Amino acid sequence: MSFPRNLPLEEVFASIADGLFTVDADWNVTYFNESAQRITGIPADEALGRKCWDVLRSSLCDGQCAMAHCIRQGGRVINKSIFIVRGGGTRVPVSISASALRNASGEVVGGVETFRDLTEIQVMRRKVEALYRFEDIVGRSPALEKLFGILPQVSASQATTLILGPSGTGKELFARAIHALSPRKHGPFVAVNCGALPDTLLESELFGYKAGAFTDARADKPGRIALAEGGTVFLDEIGDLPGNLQVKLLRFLQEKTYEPLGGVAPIKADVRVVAATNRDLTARVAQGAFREDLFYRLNVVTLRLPPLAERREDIPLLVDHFVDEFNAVQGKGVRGLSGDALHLLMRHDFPGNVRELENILEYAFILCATGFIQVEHLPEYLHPGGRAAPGDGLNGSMEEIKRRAASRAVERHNGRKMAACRELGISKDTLRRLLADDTDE
Amino acid sequence: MRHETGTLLCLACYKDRLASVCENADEYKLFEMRDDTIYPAGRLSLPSKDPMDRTSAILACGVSLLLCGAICADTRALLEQGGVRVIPWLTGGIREVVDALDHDSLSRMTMPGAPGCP
Repeated sequence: MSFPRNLPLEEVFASIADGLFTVDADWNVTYFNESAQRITGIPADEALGRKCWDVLRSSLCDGQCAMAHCIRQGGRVINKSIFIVRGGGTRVPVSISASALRNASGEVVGGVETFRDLTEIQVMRRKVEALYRFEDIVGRSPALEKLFGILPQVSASQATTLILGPSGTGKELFARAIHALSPRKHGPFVAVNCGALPDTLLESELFGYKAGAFTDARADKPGRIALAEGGTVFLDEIGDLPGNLQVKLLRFLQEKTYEPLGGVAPIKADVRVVAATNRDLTARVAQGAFREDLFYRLNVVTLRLPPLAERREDIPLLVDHFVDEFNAVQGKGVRGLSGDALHLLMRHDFPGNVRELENILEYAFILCATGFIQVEHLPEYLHPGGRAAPGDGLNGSMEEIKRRAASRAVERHNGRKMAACRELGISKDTLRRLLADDTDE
Repeated sequence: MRHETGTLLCLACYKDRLASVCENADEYKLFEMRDDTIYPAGRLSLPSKDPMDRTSAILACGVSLLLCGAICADTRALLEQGGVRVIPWLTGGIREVVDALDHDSLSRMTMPGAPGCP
């Protein structure tokens, strides 16, 4: 569609809410509309004739200019999230779009860039995030809203509670929320991973032992149930509890008493039990691997946590939450996710649920030190057309993921380690350590 | 302009000019101000883009004056708390800025919209 010839262009540009400026072929600002003046705080008479990088002062101006990209590659840049620095040192989050300007012969005569102030949107997002936060759980999806609605009553009830959900959905967070909202909140919260300890050790960890119970038991040792007196014990991966301990736990749930290893008299305990599993306990009961009576004792109140793929609307809130958390822990100034990067995450299935999202963002923080996380900062398996390959993705510990990121960066730069350091934003020593760890394995 | 002997000056640069945003500089060039003259004194290696790491590197090598373009208030506060005098909101080629400092004429190198002259 062609632009009508007789329209007063200045009036049109002055009326739009986005900042708009044009430059000539030497990057001198030739037009600076009213919104541009308002957003940057720079009057038009000071901006005109100056180099655009001196006026816009954005996170792209030193080497990643969007207009230069359009001139070199053709096409347009649309809605790229960046920040600009106003006089006084305030960072202003903006979304920019840019394009080259060509004359009738197709020669580049300059460029045009528009930018939208995202400050109010970010403030509103923060407020919304606060609204959609329940204890440490972040979400606004109908599935979570429903859980938030019943959590206070569940917490107040003191009933044994079973939390079901796939791995990485935040079962421990819910258990902690139940404890924090319960009358036991001033008591201890003690977590035990039933799948992480060998059977013999698990028994002594849960119930403790008496001096002389076995060769090295020189003194009494209280178990986790004793440590949780007056509070809550969280039994994670309860589906992996071995048969002999299922009997002991059943007795504890029925009678509120237990016997430590080597003990001769039952000990009374005032402890609430919250258990969790990602296994299908009904199927385990049918297979005879889990006691039916224990299942019903645990199943007084059941909370089912939905996988992240079933509550995609929570992804932007969770992203903001993790970005804030990593900024605080790592002392960084990452502003959030660019529109493109968020779009990719919204389309991903997240088999690893919230934990996978957290790992993805922790990976992105390695590559992105400041500004907005862009698509190139995300793991390769998320990139358009990218395929998960063995060893790809975010399986393994953070150290393993960092080692993979380091060795791939070196490969990408044909063995040039300093270039890899610059891309990853890490020191030579850190790269050397990561590569050495990789070789050791 | 008279300088304290051995004062270390740092310019936050992009290629042959001051970087428009200090935190995005691709190189920090060092100069030593000695006997009324400014001598090149090398460059600061920037392994990380993290503003905290960069600030630490500037402080660690004993810089006492930083000349730069736009700078975020939190970065500036960190540097000033570490004893570095910051003259921000400057623009121009590296040689021009150094000459302007030497001739006490940095005020003509300020960016548009800068909060006052240095």
